[in-house]
Amino acid sequence: MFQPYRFADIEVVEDAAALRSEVREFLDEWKDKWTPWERGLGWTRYDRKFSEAMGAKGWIGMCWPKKYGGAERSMLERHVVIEELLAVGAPVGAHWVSDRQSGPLILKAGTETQRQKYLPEIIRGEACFCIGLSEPDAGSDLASVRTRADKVDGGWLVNGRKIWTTNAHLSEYIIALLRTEGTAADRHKGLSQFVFSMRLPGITIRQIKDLTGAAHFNEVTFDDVFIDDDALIGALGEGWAQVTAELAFERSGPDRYMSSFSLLEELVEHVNKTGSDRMIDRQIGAEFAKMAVLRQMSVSIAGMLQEGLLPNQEAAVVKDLGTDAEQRLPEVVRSILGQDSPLDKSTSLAEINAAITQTAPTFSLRGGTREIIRGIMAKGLGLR
Amino acid sequence: MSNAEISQLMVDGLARVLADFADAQTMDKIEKGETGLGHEKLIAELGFDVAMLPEDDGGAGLGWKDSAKIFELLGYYASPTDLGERIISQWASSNAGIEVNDNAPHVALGTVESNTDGSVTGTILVPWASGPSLTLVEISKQDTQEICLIDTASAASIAPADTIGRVPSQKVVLENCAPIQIGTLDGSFGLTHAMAFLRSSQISGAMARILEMTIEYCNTRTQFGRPIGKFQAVQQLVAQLAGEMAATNAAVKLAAMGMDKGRGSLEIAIAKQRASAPVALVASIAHETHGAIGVTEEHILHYFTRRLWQWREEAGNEHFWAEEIGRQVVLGGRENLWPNLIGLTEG
Repeated sequence: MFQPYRFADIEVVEDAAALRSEVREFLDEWKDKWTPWERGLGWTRYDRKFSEAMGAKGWIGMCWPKKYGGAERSMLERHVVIEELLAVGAPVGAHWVSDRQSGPLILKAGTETQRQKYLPEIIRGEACFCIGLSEPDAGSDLASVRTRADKVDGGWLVNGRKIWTTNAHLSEYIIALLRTEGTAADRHKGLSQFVFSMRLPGITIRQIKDLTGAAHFNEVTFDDVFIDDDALIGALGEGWAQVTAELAFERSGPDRYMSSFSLLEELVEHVNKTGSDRMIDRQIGAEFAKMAVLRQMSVSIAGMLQEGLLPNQEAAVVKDLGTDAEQRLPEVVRSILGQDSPLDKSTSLAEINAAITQTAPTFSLRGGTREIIRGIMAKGLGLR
Repeated sequence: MSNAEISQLMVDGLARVLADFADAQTMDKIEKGETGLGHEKLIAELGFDVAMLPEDDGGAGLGWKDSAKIFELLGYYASPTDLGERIISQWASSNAGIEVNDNAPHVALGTVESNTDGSVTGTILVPWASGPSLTLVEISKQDTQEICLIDTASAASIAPADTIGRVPSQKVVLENCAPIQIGTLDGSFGLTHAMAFLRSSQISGAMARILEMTIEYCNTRTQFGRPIGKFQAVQQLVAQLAGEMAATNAAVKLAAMGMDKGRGSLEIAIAKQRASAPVALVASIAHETHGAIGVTEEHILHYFTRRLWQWREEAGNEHFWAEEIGRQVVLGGRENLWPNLIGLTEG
């Protein structure tokens, strides 16, 4: 039978229940402090103290080797932790990118020196990383990156601009995809990845306010920024292949379908109190079913990562379906409330819905737009 | 040999038989009620209808996850046989202690009400029946999963049903019909749930076939000087189709794992909801990409899309099950929402 995807059968994590209750106990001490609006903003929300507390618990970089401070736990155990965080809308922004993709990239492609320098700091919740991929002229067409790293004595000189760099203004480090050879016309060839401090001279960060008035992303300008030779990650010229692998981590997690979970919770609370009917039950039931199946696929991907597989296609499926479900939920809420919703943020449900309605457009942009993701899927299916 | 290995051998054996009866002409004959096409005998000889019975009873002791592979394969070949129904029939009879002879009774879609004198009343659809037959039916009950064996010859009326799926079926109206036997299914779900799982699995398999056909067509059909699969607009559609197929496939796995652990009621509801809901999109994308040739009688695509339209309605459609799921979720309230979601894989 034709089956283009490999979603592995994953059985329960042995001690999931114990780990889960440990995480919930920890979160109980924090979660009352967060407003519905904050919970609605989800995993981009930055709180260094929270990340340090997470680090103290051993829940950042928890699958990494003990010699760097990791706990050598499984990807499935990590899945337990991160989905518990997302379920309560925890402010994980100060370590999310580091834990999800920067650390794994350094572990996989970095030198021993780089591992020892960065991983323990990430694990303690003290190192926020930003992702230097998009540029003003290289968004979906990422291979047309222009920002250059030119070889000089003892290192590289970086010139150019990155944009939409989430939390760049709060980050200690960046991992940037830079052109080390040729021009934008050379596409995938001649790209390399570098890791370096965001505090270096020549780096200018300009915050960009989004439509909610908040500023999460930034434009980062590099003006003759000198970085050492040991800033190079992996092999020179292999940046594109590394980025593809890195994006699999970015696209595969429960953050790709749980952004609206707090909203579903508030909705269930509201309907539970005000009374349901058959049509409301149907709508909520359909959303619950979608989420259950997305979670099944997400757990399966975590299991495949644990086995060392690179489930790029499977991750694309979850991202496509997941962001679609996340984005529809505010409309489901509106359909159920009819005209009974306040026109301001005076209820928790209205406040969270306002947050998610306004951030929802980004769900299918970050990590690759819906159209790019579907293009990757089509290619994976053999359309040529 | 492990159950997984046994079921893989069974799937391979069945695939060899089904592949020879997967053309439009044969499908057409089956839908017209022709018998003696050969595959029924070959499939009967495989003896797979007792696959879920314990080995001591002559079965293979397969669980639901293993059986789902057989059900999906049937869907992949548009189910030219009632093997899936027979497996469910044997499982249900054995589980509920209803004695049947070698020939498994048909399984009805729909439920009947029990009257005070023990007789049953209701309207059911009996797929794959060409006339009156022994049939298993679920009796609608609040807290137990009762089924009964009836002879549809004693129905108030029985007539061939004209369905979208066109598989030979009988529409049967039972009025105060006395069951031959009554039994109770041991476990956490009833006959309608079991049939919902069968249909979900068949939908999953049929979607895989539809995706495969669509990819092949997109890579071979040339317009504007290149294969239509090169156009981004077409690629986006095919990707959407693939995503829905993957989700349906995952929903079936979710249900099967729960059922094998002795749960399954909510999991099956989710599976059938999630399998039925995307049928409209999947069928429309498949037909959209195939163009007019795909809606002709001679093309094989409609045997799959018509099955999907039929199967999504049978044993509860997506709206029926969404309501069931939603009722539980709303009643559980906020504090149980997340634990219930987690409980589907960790309960």
